[in-house]
Amino acid sequence: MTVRAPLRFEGVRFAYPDGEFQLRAPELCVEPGEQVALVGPSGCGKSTVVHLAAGILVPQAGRVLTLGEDLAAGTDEARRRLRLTRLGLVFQEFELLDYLDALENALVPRLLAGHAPTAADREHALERLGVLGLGAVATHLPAALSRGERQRVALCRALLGEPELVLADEPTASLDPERAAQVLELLSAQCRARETALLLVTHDRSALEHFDRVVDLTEGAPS
Amino acid sequence: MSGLARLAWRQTRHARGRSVLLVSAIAVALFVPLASQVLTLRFDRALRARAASTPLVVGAAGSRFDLTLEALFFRRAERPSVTRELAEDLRTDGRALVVPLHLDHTVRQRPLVGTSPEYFERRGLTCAEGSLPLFVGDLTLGARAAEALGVGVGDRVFSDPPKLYDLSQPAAMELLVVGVLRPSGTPDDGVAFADLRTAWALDGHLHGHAAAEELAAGDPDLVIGEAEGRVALSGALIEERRFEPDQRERFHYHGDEARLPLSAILLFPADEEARTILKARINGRRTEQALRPEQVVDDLLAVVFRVKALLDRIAVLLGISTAALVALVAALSLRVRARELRTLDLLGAPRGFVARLVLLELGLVLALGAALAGAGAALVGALVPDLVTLL
Repeated sequence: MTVRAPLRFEGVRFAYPDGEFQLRAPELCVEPGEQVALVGPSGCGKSTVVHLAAGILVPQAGRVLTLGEDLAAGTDEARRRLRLTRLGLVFQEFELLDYLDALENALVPRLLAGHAPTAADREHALERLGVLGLGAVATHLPAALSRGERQRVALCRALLGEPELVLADEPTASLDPERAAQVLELLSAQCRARETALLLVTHDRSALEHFDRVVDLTEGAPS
Repeated sequence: MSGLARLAWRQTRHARGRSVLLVSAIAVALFVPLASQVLTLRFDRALRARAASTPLVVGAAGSRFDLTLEALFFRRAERPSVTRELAEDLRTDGRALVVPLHLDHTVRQRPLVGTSPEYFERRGLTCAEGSLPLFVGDLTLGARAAEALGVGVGDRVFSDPPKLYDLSQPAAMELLVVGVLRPSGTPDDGVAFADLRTAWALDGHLHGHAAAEELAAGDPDLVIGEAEGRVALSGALIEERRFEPDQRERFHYHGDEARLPLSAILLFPADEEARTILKARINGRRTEQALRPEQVVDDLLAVVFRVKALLDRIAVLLGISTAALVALVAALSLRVRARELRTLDLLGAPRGFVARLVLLELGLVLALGAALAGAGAALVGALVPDLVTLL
């Protein structure tokens, strides 16, 4: 039996409208349960790869197969639905909503899907926040949380819906080394516990030991 | 609450300053036209209802508005009076039921309406307690007046002296409350009713004292002259200031009763023809006028609605400036919230979700503003006294 790769780039070509940037990751594959780190210097297109994988950007040529779906062939609505329901996304600047507390931020994908969280959803989210060491600050607004806590809330939001693939775009870039290590460890451990594939962009080469494979975009076509 | 509604509510609550500013601006913009609408509608209804139930008003020539407002709403006006003779002529004519009104006095600042029993019959006024004012010195209070004065049947109240420090004016007289009317929701609720003779007694036209022989027997100095069967009494004679049952018969009038004054006369003609004839006849005289209150009220309301139209124009300007403010704040807040809205997009919010969220937030603010304006207008409707009483 062939197991489908959660993420596959096939002959992908992408350029921003100004034409100055050409993506250098035409082929890329993340296997089920695999944890892949994407490294490279600034401006080499690491974030672009994550955005293409999440369907936020669409390639001009080639195919991006995320969880088996050819994103370029589908509609914008389908790509949004995929992001919301099957992917876990973590961003460098956390992307939390200022007016929601930690618990509600964790439940945002559910709110965006049009559902009011049930008591069971809230209980589940509280439990996950507790696992990430955020039980005591579940009712705090982001402004009242430290940067490390905010990124952990973002992790909780990404993992709460039991995603099939987690895409993380430099989630530790704005954290101090100690907190960055904690967050990476947590993310890696959580994904491993669920056998969830992980593609993580980082420029922190000291963190690479957590990953099954490292893709370096400075070397041209990755393996 | 759906996810969208929850997000909208949370954002609105979080951005308190902005929300309060918008809600207040919208509330003010909506309150002005709403409140003016509530008040003018009430004014319109009150005026028309009263006017429709009064076919003709007769009074001295002069301001049509003053006469109508005085006869229908007891608003005091410095107007010449007509005479009892006119009322008697109209009664003799037989084309209409004649209801005389005397409106020159007050009881604790509330109008005292001297009238005949027919008034109560035509206005459908009945007593909740006690009886109508049938005798001199009797007072029957409207429901609101009784409540405001804090008096009931059997209590006594003084009339207000016309001029406190003018000794030539009749002094205040003590009146006996004999009844309280059922509430009618009309200006009748706020006044005190008396028999016409009571009003004339308060004018000083009627007075009460013992018979001359009786007085002379008690104090011969009180009689200062006698001629042709008439007796002249001294100014030292103290007239009755209260109307005890056994003294009512002592009240009398020395002059020509036909000259006794009336503020206005209400006419209830038998039919349209009678109304037309009576109106034409009275308006043919120079010193009196007959009015159809409905026509006068129409003219009065035309003035009121011109004022309302002005208010409406102000409200439109206010609405435009509020709309501009709302648009500006919304545009600024969209700019400030660009990152948050991008986050929703990144996370996979469905197409149009952000637009619906922003619209829902605006709708929420609008609804809150409208609710506040509605509550304010309702409060104005409940607390502000009827405009008719302010005329």
